[in-house]
Amino acid sequence: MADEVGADSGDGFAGGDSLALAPELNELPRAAGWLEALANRDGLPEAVLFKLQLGLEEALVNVLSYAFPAEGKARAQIRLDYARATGLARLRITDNGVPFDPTCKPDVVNAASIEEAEVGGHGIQLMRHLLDEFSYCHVDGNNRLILGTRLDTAG
Amino acid sequence: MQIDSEQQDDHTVVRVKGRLDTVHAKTFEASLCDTIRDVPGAIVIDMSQVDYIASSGLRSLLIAGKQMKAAQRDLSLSGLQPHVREVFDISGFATIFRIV
Repeated sequence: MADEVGADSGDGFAGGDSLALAPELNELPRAAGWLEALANRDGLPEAVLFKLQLGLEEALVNVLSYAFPAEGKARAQIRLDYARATGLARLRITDNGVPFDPTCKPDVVNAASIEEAEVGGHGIQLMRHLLDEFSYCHVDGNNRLILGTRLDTAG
Repeated sequence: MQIDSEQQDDHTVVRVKGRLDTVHAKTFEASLCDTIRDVPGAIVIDMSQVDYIASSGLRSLLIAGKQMKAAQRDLSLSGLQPHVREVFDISGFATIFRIV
């Protein structure tokens, strides 16, 4: 593993804004507040912020729920990076937990009735449909998930 | 998050204000289940002041929906904001819930 998760990997996040998180669900509001402040600073449209907030929350809930079994929490590292590229707002979520690629998970099949609907499973479906970039790689022992939303077509 | 309920002629209106996210979904779910248990008849959830919903919020709504269906009571949702409506469309919840 690199000394610090989220080190520059040539994917457009070098020198941008970043935030380190503890592996606890109660970090979610801090992550959401961090992203909202950046969106306000950069004048991101409301629809772009909504999609990135949703993607960030769904991704972090997966990481916080499954990436760090109890014995792995002491060495857990989670880092968020934000970058605004031409026409695109992007987030990178890096963690050194159990390898997990959400982009390869199939969508849940939407139920025809409340009785048939299964509880849960819509997080990855929402990320895949709302985001314009949803990509994953496992590098140097770290999960790297990138979420991006185009600035011109978010509506 | 703020949750209020109001008894009207033949149904109860539950008004929700804030974010239906992972942090607040359990509180919302518990409040809704209390209302279902304590108040008879149909329930309308007024979502007009909900500006954000994540899959955790959908989960809470589905649990409430299943309880109401099992009790053969009507549950409907009103006032969905555009972003919330989009989440409902993608997840299929716009089809399985009655939206007024």
